[in-house]
Amino acid sequence: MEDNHMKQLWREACGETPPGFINRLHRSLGQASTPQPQRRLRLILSASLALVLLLNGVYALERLGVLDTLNAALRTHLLPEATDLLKSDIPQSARQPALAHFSVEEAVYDGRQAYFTLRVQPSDPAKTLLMDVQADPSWAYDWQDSGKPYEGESFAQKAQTSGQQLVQAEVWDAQVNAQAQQIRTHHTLYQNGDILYTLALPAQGEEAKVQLNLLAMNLQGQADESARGTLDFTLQKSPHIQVAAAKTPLTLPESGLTLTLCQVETTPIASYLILKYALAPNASPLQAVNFEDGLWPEWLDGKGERRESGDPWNSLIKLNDGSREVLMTYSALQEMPQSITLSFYNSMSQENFAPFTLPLIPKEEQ
Amino acid sequence: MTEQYLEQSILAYTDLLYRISTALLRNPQDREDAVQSAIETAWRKAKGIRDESKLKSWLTRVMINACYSILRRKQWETPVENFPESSSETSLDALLLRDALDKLPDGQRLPLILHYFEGFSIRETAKALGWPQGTVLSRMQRGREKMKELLLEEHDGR
Repeated sequence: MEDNHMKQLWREACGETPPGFINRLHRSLGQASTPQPQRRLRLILSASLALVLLLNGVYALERLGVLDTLNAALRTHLLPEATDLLKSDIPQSARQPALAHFSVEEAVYDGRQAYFTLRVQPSDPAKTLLMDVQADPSWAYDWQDSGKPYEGESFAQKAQTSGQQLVQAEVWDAQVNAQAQQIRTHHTLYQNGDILYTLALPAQGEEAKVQLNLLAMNLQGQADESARGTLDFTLQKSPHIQVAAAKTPLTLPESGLTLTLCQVETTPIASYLILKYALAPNASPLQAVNFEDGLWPEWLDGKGERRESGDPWNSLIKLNDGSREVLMTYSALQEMPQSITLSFYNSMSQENFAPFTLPLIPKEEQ
Repeated sequence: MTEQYLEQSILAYTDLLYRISTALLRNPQDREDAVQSAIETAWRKAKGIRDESKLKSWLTRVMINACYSILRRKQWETPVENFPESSSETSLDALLLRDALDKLPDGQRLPLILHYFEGFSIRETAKALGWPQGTVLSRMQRGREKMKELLLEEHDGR
């Protein structure tokens, strides 16, 4: 067969690039530029925590915890009270993989997300070089520090020269309250041969019983059962959550949507916007296409400017009944707003729809 | 390399990245996770790329790594097939090609796809896969022979 014909058949076999893929790519591009995490001492701290850090001296400077990376990773502004919610010395039980030891160092659960730092240490530091989940053996070992990913010694070279085995260590699956949840990696840091992941899991309820499925496998060998492990811990929900919602259902004629939920949750860690919407019964064919593409909300401030949401894990989910659920993460707010101004947009067509404002009613008043 | 240039390049390669993902991942959700992971990685590391002409093969490599990362995590789950569901508009020849490619090991399938179907040069294919050019050539040779056998078998079986 001719080359061009084969190329055509290959494209035909793959099919059109689906809207879900394009949408995720556009969303990821829009949110990919993540600032570097700040050291804890640069954050606005409560006086009590600053005192603790001073007392801990050098040790405090060397540590990097969940709040350090969260502020940058989500591009959110944490409230000073966030530090009060942070838990350390978390009771945990584990069946460790043979080649690495995993432990939760710090965690906070704000009623919507469980954020935690997970330290991975090689079981035998002399014989093992750890590599994170996204890395490739050819990439520079110290790129995070040097900012030069293609200069210097690679993971593979470092392992070879030091006679170590190269082990990729990660959380490959997770459950919260016995439900499978997608693990979210917000940041990865190398510290003296350890890996410190900042991770998050969606969670709901008064407590989050977390089970992580661990994997530490030698990249030169075959993975067997000894490469796997589990880590269990439970987090209690922070008491500082405020919830308010707009009155729904509500039809939005311009976008052809019926809004069935518009809820705002504020915590010292972040603000969350949760929307559920369906295609309105009288929607036009064009509106149906927009709906299928996936319409994302923008939360506008008092000047009509888009509030920035830097979380690359914002989600748009298709529910079983065909409606959509959107979860967006924003900066923490001091107070629950009395109203919310939203507009929808289609990231594929770049089409924006007119903004609308809805009063928010605190949950206890509903 | 400016962020704007990188963004425009990634957008231009959307379909390529999708086809690469179909060569390795069966589940549409996994492919979306892979492209998100690839873009996050690309954004952080692209500043190290000095030669913009190598961006296409580099992005392909980042995408392949993201797919392999997901495969590694899922190796204990359901067996992986390699292509999306066919639509009623897919021709018989395309289906035969798909089935034949599906039967090749990754090490032969990927260089064939990149070189013959995506138009990568041998050098670009080697860069994208992180292999020496000689390895690419020898694996493509074996892959072509195997593909020929498979397509003849499938053709005779029609």
